[in-house]
Amino acid sequence: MMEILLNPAMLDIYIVAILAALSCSIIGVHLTLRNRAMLGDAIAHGVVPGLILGFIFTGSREVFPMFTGAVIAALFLSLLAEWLRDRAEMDGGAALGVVFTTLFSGGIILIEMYTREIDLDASCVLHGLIEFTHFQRMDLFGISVPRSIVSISIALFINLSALLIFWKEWKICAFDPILARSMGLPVRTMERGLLIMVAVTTVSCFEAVGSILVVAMIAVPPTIAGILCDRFGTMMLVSGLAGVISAMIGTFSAIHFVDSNVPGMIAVTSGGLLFLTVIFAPHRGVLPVATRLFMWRLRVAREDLLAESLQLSNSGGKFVSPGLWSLSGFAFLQLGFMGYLRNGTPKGRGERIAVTLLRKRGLWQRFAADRLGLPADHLEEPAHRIEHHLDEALMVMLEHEENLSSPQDIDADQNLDAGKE
Amino acid sequence: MNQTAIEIHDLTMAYREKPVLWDIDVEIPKGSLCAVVGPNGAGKSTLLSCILGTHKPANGWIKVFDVPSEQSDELIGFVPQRESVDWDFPIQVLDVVMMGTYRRLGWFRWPGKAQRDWALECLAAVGMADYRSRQIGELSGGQQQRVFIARALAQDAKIILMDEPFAGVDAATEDTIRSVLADLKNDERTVVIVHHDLQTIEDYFDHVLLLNLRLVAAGPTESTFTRENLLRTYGGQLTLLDEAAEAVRRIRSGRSMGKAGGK
Repeated sequence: MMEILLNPAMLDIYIVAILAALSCSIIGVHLTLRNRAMLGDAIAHGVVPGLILGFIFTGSREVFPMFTGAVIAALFLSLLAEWLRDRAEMDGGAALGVVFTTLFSGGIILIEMYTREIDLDASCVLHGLIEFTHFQRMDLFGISVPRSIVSISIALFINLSALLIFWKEWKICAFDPILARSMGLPVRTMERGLLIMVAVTTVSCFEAVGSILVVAMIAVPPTIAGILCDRFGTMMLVSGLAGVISAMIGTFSAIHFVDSNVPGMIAVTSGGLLFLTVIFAPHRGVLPVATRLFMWRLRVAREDLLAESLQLSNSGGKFVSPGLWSLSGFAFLQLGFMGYLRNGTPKGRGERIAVTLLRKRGLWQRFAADRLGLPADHLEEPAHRIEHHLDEALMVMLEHEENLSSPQDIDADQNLDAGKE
Repeated sequence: MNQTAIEIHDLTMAYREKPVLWDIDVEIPKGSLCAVVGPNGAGKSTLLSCILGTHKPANGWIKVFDVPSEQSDELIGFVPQRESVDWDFPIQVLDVVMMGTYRRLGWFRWPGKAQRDWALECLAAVGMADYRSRQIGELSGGQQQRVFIARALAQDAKIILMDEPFAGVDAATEDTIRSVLADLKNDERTVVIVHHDLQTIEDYFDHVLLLNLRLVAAGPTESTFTRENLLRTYGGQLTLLDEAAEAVRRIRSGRSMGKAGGK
């Protein structure tokens, strides 16, 4: 850690990576919520000819002309794609794909044609020049600072202030543009503004981190946040956090472990984070969902074993322990370990669980027979399934229903729903 | 009760020269539960958009409580069609209802405790206060409808438009929505609903607007919802307009009819 702080060139790389990740992930959330994350991809590539033309027309490598060229290219790109979609009735995604690949290839051709005059080449468009951040400096109020840090900070400042000033407007335009328009909000203007923000962010991050990282930071951290969050604000925060974490881990491992391209490593890291999120996210992750399902099945198997053994011991039958390599075998082991089931008869809490379950089963069967009018051969199997879902509140309700003397119209589904809440 | 909530005068609406509504003249009285009925493509949703002000009509005007709709401060609530909402959007029930307060809050200001309390009150009015922290996708169809009705209440909308709230909901949900509608009517709010199920019109609505590109009939349900009017709405009388629209489409696409191609 000290080493980073002592080495200003390295510190600058970290700062640029983190700032770029933050500004891109804000934009990314906006786009993701509009199902338009690919617009980031398109703009990151489509601005290339704008950058080059800006250079060609002015002949200078100053920031401003190239910047203007790129923003114009971004606007041109998205308007052309929109026009193709609405007027030529192309599919929206296809229109965007056609426009940005054409523009990007055009840009690459321009670079190759003028490559002797500019020190830009195709690979630096993809990967950027983050390693040289420290050495490309400019004067800011008399202080020499790395140029990329200034340009990315400006983009981040614009994105952050636009986000905070128009917080509720962004939210409503993304969620319900019809309501927004009926309230007199300038939805179109806001969308254009977002477009300009995407363009400004892309262009300012471009030189330092290249198009790969811009695309990754616009698409991946918001997706991670989308899996984890169910509110706009938390999604913004988590997205920014995921971006920063990717930037730090990616930069660190690129410098210290694999000695490779920093933006590429950051993009790979964010992809890894996304994968981890998909697997482990508490609510929607594959593993927690599977675990909850497994625990539930195990509980059902335990309850079934207890009820079965109680029935058998009451009727004098012999309880046969299940095969070891099955779910009920595992449940059987568990019950023995907990002391709920001894020598084929439920004990203590195990007995109480068994009694309750049998009571539920009986109650449901009676309910199904009396109230739903199901024939006898339709009772056993559903009762077996439903009994595990009946909680105390629902039991009380069922008992109450059963004890009512006069049959009344009742809505079984509604009671079930009410019980779940 | 006799006041007019919505007055539409000679409204014509076109999408790129293809007319979707022709010369609509209609008045919807205050406090009515009004069904908009007509075949697919009759312009029902378009009519709602025009009232809501999200589409500019090609011709004609709309007055809301006797004020031209562009100048009106009156907020109109809108309950969108189920398919048009992104249910995965990271937003909780209370946040959706709070959106109803944004317009009155104005630019740059953040919603605070007053807005929160008001939104909760509106949520409670439709019996959904317990669900305030749910993500909207986790609700059932009827609960989702109620949340959007609560948002219209939060707008303090005297007029509420709904696009097929009864589409694809089960009987229990339909009952819940109906009871909320009854509450809205008791509140003297005007509710305009695009509705498809002709069987239930007479039970649910006191006012009906029959539409098929042009207005077929409008008025109290008993006198307007007649077999004859329905035949005129869904039957053959309107093919003339269809043909006119088809002709315009042909001009645009530059393609002629099949028989012309044979020449």
